[in-house]
Amino acid sequence: MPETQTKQGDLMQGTLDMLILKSLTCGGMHGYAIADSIQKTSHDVLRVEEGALYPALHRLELRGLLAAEWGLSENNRRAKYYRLTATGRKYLSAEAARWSRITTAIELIMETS
Amino acid sequence: MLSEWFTTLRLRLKALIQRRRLDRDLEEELSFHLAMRAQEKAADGMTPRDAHFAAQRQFGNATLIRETCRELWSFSWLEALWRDLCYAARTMMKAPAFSIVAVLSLGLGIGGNVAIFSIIDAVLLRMLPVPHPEQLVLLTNSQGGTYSPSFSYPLFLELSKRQQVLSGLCASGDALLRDVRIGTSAEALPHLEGRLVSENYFSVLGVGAVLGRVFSPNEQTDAVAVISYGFWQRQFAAAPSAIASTLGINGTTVTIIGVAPPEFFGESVGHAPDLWVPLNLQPQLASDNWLENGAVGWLQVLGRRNPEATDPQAEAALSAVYQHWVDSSSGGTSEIRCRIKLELGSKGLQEMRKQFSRPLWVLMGAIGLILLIACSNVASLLLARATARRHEIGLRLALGASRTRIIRQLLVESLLLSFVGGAFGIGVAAAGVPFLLALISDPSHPYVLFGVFDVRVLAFAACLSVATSVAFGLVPALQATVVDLNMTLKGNVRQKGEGLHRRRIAKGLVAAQVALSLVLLVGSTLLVRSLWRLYQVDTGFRREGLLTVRVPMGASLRLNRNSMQRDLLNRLTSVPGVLGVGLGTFAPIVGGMQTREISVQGHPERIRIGMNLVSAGYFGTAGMKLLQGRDFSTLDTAGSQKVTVINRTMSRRCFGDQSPVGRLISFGATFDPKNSVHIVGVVEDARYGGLRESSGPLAFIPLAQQRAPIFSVIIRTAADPISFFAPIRQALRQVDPELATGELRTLDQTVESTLVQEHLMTKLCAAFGLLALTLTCVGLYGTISYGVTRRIPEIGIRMALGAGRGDALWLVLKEAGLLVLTGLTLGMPSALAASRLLRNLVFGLATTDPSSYVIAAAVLSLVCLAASCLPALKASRVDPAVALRNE
Repeated sequence: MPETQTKQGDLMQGTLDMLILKSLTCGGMHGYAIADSIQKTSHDVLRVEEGALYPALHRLELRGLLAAEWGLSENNRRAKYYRLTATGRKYLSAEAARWSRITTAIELIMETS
Repeated sequence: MLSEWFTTLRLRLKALIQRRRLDRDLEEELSFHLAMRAQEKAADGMTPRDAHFAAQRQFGNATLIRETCRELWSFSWLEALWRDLCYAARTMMKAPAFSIVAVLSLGLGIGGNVAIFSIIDAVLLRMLPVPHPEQLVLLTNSQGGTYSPSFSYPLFLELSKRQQVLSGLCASGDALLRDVRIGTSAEALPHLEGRLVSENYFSVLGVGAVLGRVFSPNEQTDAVAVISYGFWQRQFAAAPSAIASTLGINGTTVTIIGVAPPEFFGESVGHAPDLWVPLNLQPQLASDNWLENGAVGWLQVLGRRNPEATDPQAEAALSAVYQHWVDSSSGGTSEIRCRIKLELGSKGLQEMRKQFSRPLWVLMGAIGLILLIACSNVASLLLARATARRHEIGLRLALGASRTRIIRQLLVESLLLSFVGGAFGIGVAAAGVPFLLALISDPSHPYVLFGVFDVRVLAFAACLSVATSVAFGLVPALQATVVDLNMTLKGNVRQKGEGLHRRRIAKGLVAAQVALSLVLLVGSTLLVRSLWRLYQVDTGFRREGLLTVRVPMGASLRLNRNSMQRDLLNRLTSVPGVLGVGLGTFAPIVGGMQTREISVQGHPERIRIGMNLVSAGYFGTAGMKLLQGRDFSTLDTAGSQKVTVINRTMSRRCFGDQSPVGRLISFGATFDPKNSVHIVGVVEDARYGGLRESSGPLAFIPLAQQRAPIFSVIIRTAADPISFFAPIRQALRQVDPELATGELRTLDQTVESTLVQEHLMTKLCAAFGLLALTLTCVGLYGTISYGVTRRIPEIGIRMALGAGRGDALWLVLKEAGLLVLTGLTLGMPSALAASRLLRNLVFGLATTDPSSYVIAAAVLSLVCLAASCLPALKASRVDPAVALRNE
């Protein structure tokens, strides 16, 4: 079992958005692959509740940060593939910078005490 | 941020069109995920069935997620609103009686408000349709006394030549059109208004022509005209050939050179000139030349502010020019202090504004109260309906609808009601505005307002509708959703605590209606009583058989020739039935008065008095009582001793209790025995400056001893003066054709004409009061009779226990009486506060006039009592056996 059983809400929406965008930097994926990718890359620490992934994906698509098209999956089924748009890429780098500033700050505090 | 918003909008619109496809895609996307996960689990060794369920568990609530996603793709709140609207429309249809009553009362309320607001907007709030209206100033001048906006042509010329403080100065005056025809057509066009304007008029205002050109500073000929857009449309069917066509104006032929823009109406709100001609044309349009006359003020002067001079600087510079002009024309330094003051000109000339500003705000207040009463009536209706709909609402709550969701639904219903009411109201306003304008204006020159219904007015109507729907819908909606589910679903209609609360609100609404009606009724009673007092005013003239002729400007100047005066007097007195004729500079009641400074022999104080020049026999004709001394006679001639008759106020002011007969006065600051005038008599005060103003000190001088323009002819007739109109007009025509165009009126008509506005205000306010009374009665009746229906079992029990019919009657009347009393108590202070708005409108009584309040309260209580009698009688006829069986 993974270390932390993440429930919906544990991963704040902004963070989930960032993780989704990040996992798509290397190319387009469908939702199932995104969920797996987040889980694997975090060495099973972060496990997205799979259902909650989809509203987040759609929200990002509506904001124009992701673009979607239908394609064939590895097992020849129709699947919806998401990929980063130019705005999405810009948004991700801004978010990443913000995230690293915050984590550095939090680390600083945790180390001093 | 904006581009993101557009992307969302584009995607949502796409989804809206391909709704089916969106659903299918969503379904497929989710099921793909589930299938992949199940496949993976099966590969790990689970049975397909277990793998399927495990995948679903890991995924979470698929239905909920599908719903969430779908909502993301849709205009959710808009769609919900649309569904609510459809539902509301169906509910409205289901209760047509309720809907009609609600829409009618809201429509009348909103329509009245919109109508009055649109007039207020056009008259009081809007700027002139010219570039930079805020720079415009209106010049007024004063020679020591009050400021007047009328300038003579020589003064205007002098000011424009010598000033540098304004960036432009232009003038306009009434062209006094008598006869206008197109080309040499045989038919004259009726009722046209024309302005004589300086050649820079259009350029100073910054208005160009939509066709042709406007006047230029070096016009070759004066015989040119610019016509209004409306005139062009009406008379030339908007044909471009109108340019260079000719018009015959008062017998002079002019060429049309341009058409003004459609929204341009000149500088005077409420007027709509049909044509403009250059000032220099004036001598050709009238029989007198006013261009060289420095004594006749007939021009309005407008200027544009110069950014380099402040208003006080400009005023000082202009006043200096004015002073210099007066001094040099009178040859020496005069003592008169000449001043020029700038008034805000951005909204144009203020005549209509000054006249109607207060009444319009009062009407706006009154109609606002009506709308409030209508709102509270609809709110009571909604409260009662909420009781009827309790089952429906209870059911929806039980099925899981949230309270906010139902309140939203109910508010949408109110919104729909008030928007339908508002649409109806705009119709009411569209019909009401021309009606109101016709009521307030002089029939021969109706006020014309431009662009009354513009976006602002429609926005006002929309805001008003929203505000109204909240005002009448919120409380009932909150109330309706407080439902005990258990009781409702079990079908128990009567509920204890909750019903009581709702009734308390209904009663509060009725009391508020009573209070608001009282405010309106007190206002209308004050106005009715004030109008009555105005009719009772003793004008000082004997009304029976008195007829007045208003002499047109041109004729008034010719009339100061003695030969013409004699001719006029002879011809009029020879009309059979005419008992006497008098000439005067100023007309009774509406004439106003010119004031002059005089000094009295042996009296150190200088005083300012009014002066009216009259013919011999004037007092007898007017019916003014001679108190002391003698009347003027034919023996007072230019050669004899100068004499005057003074009025009672002047006698008391200058001489106290002593007799003034035989004393001397002279005009000017110091007493001059050489130019003194002998006081020979005292007459009773009479009103020249309107019904409201009591007479000031006034001296009469015989026309034979001083020449002056004559603006008024008064005629005493033996019978009904109206039957004399035709023969008198004929006699006038023989003397001077222009004189015959002057207005004939009986004194009663004159009095009536000064009270037009009062009549209008009183009628409208009384109508509003009546409307308020009706609405309140309906509200009271509804609430009380609903109460009686609810209390039938209780009354039945009381009767079974021995109470009589009288007791039941009393029970209901007491409830109604308490309500009305509460309303009156609340209404009195509000009425006291609100009627202070009428301060300048009521005449002869204070706005706290106790009897008006008593009358209003009494009328209100009686009508309310009558309205509650019906339900009370119903209560007294309750049959205890029937009532108890139904329980």
